[in-house]
Amino acid sequence: MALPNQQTVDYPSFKLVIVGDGGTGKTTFVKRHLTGEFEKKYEPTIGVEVHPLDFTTNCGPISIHGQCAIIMFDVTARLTYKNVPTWHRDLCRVCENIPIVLCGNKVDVKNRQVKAKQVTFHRKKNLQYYEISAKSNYNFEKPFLYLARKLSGNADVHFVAAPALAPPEVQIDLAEQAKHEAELLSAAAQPLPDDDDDAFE
Amino acid sequence: MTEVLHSPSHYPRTSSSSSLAYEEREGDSSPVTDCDPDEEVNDKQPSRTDQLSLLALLVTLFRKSLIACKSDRRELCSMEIGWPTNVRHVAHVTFDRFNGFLGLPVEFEPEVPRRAPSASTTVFGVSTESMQLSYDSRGNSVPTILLLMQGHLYAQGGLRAEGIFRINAENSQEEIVRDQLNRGVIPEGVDVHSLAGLIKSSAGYSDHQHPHLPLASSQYNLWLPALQYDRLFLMEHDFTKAWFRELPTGVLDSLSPEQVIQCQTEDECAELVRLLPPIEAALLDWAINLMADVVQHEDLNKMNARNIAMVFAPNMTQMADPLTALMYAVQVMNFLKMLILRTLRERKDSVVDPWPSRRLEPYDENGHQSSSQTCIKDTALEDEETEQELIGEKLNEDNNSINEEVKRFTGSVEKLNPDGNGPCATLAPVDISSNGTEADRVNSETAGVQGNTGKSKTGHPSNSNFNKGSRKANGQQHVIQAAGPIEKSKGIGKLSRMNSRMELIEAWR
Repeated sequence: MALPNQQTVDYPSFKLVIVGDGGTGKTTFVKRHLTGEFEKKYEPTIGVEVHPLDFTTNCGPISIHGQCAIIMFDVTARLTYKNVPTWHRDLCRVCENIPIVLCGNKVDVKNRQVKAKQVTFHRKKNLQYYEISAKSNYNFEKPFLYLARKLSGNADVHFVAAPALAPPEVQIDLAEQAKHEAELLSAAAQPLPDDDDDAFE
Repeated sequence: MTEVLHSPSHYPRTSSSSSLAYEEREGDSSPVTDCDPDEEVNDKQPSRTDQLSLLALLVTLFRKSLIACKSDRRELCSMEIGWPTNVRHVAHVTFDRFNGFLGLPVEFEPEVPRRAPSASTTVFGVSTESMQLSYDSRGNSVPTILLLMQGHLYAQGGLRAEGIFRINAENSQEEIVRDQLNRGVIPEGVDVHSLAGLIKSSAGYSDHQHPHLPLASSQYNLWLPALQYDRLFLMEHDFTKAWFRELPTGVLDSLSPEQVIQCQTEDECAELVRLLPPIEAALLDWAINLMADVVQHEDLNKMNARNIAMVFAPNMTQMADPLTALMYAVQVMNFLKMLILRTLRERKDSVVDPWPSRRLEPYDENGHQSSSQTCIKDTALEDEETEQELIGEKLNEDNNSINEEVKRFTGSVEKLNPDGNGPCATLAPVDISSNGTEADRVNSETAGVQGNTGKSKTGHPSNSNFNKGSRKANGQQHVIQAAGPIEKSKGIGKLSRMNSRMELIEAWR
């Protein structure tokens, strides 16, 4: 018995759950990896969808244990970030201590509501955070790479073949994004706000 | 006897249902002389003569109160006398929502409000039967709170908000707004997404799901000047959803899943709706028309019939088994979609109908539309011509996609259990009838988990297999994508649910 669409494979596989508020781009992110296309349709997902995703790595047999998760929010929608703690809490109730990546999607959008330096939740919970953009392909493989390394316990794992991605829908402003990344780094050096998880305003 | 009869007036809370207090007193029928007057009054009146005169006063007051209870009660309450110790059960009074107090002594009748108040103190999670109802413009008797929320939703431009009923509301705001709504107050400036969320959820799920504040997005800011406003705006839509979700039973629960699944045409769906009990039928009709209103603004809110049906579907039924619930939700989605499309067509066909087909204006508490309705009607009808053309074109497309949807899910179900063994055999669509009580997004998530349970049981790869697996340098990830759009649950309810599902989760590991 397997989940719908789940195939039996004889190479290491692991399960990844992607959660997050509606409209943050979970389906679109997965579809980008699956088909290379950027899904433009505005269409909510009902319940769950299950997709197998293959990655080719530089490593031979890597032993992979357990599961992992991505929590996604939309940097153009403040509320989706405010709800991240709820998703994290719910996730931890089901799966304690799994590697979790926090992803801020849609960083290609000029008018962000959640600035890089405002993203602090991952530091409180010891998660990895990536700024991503499914539309521009920015950092699109990073969450998977991090999780593969984490689950295999091998920090040298890297992907040797990228999926055939459709060209980016938009070109991300790399200089601008570099600023955001620098912001993130400098924010990481700052003491954490001692407020509650939900206190993001 | 004096003590006995006026005792209820010591309790402020009995002012509107004084007779109920009788049942809570000790049922001792000993005469008043048995009770120690000191106990009653010595706090304030240490002198014995004072006590006697007070007693006399009380007797007088009581006699008066038989004639004009209200004024005397106030006087009595203002005198701080101790609590009664000897009380007799003189009458048994029950409260009926439709008939008011039953068995109430005649002398108390003037105190009973003419209009029976709602028996429930809350508006979420209580059955429709026990709520105050009003009529909508179509004559559906639906809870007043829903009409109020609908009114606010429309008045605040909720129909034009992108992703209305889809976008999440903000978790932390939910309790505040919910509390206000339970007290019958629609908070000012509540956002459309919260309202929508509350409406949506009132269809069925008895637990969690937090309200969804949709708006989030930058698109909103184009036409909503203040952030604060837009946040509150979002709340409204969420609470609308929540109301449906939190009904003790789902609106469609009286229909069997087989009946719903068998509906392949709009006419069949409409037939099936006639089998619903009156209250559920009215709620469904109201909800379908609400969804149709949303779809008529699809160009702005991006919610077509399929999308809106999809976000409502999980709120309309309650099932115990998560995977079954998930698959049934697809059928319900198709069912709702056909009803919405049918409604849209009917609206098109009846442009001369006295009721405006697009109701931008809220209904007031008595079910009358506000006066501005008439002017809106004209413009609405103009717009409708073109809108209906678009909708008509979509119909075929939609019907095709329904079939695809069903096929896809049937296929998925078959894959679940290729050899017919294992715990998931009951999840095949033919067995979908298992009567559930609850289903929700959490369950959807755990559905995935459950699926994996079966996997390991049938001996397919588990972690140990990974190690002895082939030397291929590939890693496969199964991405289980939980549906954000169907709303997140509230933590507390979720916790309990999670616990009950722990074994499934364990199996996934």
